[in-house]
Amino acid sequence: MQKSPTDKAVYSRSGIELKSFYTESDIPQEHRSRVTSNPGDAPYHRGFHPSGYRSKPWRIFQLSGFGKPEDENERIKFLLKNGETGFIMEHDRNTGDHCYNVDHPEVVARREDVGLTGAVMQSIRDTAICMDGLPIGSSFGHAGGAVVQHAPFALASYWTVAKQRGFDLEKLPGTGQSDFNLTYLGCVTKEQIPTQPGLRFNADIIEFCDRYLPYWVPVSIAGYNAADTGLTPDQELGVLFANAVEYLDEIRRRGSVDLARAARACGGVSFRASIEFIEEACKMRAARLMWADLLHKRYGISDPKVANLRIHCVTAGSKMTYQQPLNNIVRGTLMALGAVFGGVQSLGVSGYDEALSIPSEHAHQMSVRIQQILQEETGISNVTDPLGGSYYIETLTAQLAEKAWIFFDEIQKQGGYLAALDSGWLHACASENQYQEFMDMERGDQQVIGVNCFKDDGSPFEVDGFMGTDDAFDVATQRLKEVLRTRHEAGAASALKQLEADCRSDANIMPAMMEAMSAEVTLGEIGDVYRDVFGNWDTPIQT
Amino acid sequence: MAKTGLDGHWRGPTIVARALRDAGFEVIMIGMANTDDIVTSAVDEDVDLVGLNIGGHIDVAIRSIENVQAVRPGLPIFAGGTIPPHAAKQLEALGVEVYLSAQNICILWMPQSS
Repeated sequence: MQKSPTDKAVYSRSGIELKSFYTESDIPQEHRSRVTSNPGDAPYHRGFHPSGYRSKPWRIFQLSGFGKPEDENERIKFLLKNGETGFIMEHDRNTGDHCYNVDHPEVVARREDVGLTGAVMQSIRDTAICMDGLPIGSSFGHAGGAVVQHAPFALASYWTVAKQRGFDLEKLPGTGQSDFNLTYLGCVTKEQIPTQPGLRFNADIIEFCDRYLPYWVPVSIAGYNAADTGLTPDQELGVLFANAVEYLDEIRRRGSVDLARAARACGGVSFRASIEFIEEACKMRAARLMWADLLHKRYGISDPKVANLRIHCVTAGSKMTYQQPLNNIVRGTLMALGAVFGGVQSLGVSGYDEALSIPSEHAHQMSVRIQQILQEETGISNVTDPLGGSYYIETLTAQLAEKAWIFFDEIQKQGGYLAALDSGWLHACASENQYQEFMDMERGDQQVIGVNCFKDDGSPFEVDGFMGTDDAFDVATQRLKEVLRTRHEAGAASALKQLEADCRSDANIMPAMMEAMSAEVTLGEIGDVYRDVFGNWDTPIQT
Repeated sequence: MAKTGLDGHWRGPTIVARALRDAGFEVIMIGMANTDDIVTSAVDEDVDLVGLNIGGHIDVAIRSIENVQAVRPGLPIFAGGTIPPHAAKQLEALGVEVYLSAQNICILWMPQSS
């Protein structure tokens, strides 16, 4: 019999075959009892809290930063003025990610790139300029330590400035990140410490925050960075929990922090919200289900305050197109909608100029406006888990969790998450998906509006890339000279020596890092210590 | 194939490298490389084509293109990455031709015949 077009198998992005409609009997047996649970109750797939966004709107939380610290400060203030409800401090990729000062030969060779995607912060003086006048006690700050080896510096400099301004660290809200997926999988730096010292850094931060900064989220695993490198939604879930297990197993081995408190600390994560927004909403629901399940089965933890996963979400940058960039406003809205249907606590929407550059002021404002329109005009905040109980949504949620556990198990067979990074196994998974996705677009199997179909652009709007400022390198060079000339040299040398000694021992590096910040030790000097003590990660992929 | 910046996103260059290998090319990937590394590699490996991933500021890419041109005049150079329209225009002014591929902008240098 000849098949009609409607008989052709259709798959979700995770490779789950989709029916043309769903009925009650499609919901997997083990998931049926969960469907009747309420939001805020175990197993939490229906949402974080019964009153959802009525009692707590999601946080509007945008990546931001470029140029000099004062340029970044100005942009953050612009976003806050426009209604952003937290802020993220991006550090320059050339210096920050690599722990180089601006006079490092690899940076000098690319001096025009400096400041392009984040402000240059080489010492506590730069961080203080970037934080000037920001509401750090009342808002929710991301200190910018997204990269594992850079995070101890980024966090300690932020905390030291806060302390110097009279804030009590015991009450300071905010988040770190220290995400392996970022620079060991998605956006691999030229040089960085190997994964095991990286794990140690993260455990040190968890311990330090447990003792001194109870309101700070010490580390935040970013599934986003795995997904935008090519992993499918089920793989993104699997990799995130495989990563979480590395942290919690290490904390359990150390025995220095109550495991439930550590689990609570690790339970603030981020995911990508991509354009297939129904599957993405199900992914957020599946994530909460999986976290509760993991904590219960592996660690015997079922305290609701711990087992209830908190999710930040960023819309998929790679889905924003270069062509007809204003279409990206629609894409950003739909991806945000998926995240909100999934019940996330915090959200960043990519700029409509994402494929061209970092966001212009206008694109940034639009990312905030999209979220405000959703919050204030659509009524979406009125009812928690609005899709809950749908045959399709519940089935896909359960299927995603099941498929994600299979990927989690595969990672364990590879020796665990860090081993799968070291061997390049995860890169190979991502690379295969990237190529298939690309070929789908080349062949036209996946239509992308304005890119491989409907190419005529009648829009009169010209959108160009935002290039920030052109004096970031020169100013950073001056400021580096200035700090090296005017700091108390003996104090800086002694603090650096202590940091090196602690890196060589098994001490927690954070107290020495805090001292180093107060003594105005610079980023590149700290990076030199790391390179000397820990060496360089043997990158498993050739880029 | 090289990346001119210190931004390690590898998705673009590895897709292009795979497509080139599938088409029968031998691809030598040198990763994040500064202008001197790119020039040295282009000469030592006696390549037929240089591919650049130019995810950063256009001046860094232009420096690499000009320096390769200085030692290997007429050697074709192609590049892709995050290239805003004003940067594409700068490249066009240098004689670079700009095309759009399915997933991202791709730029192909058409060298002057001499």
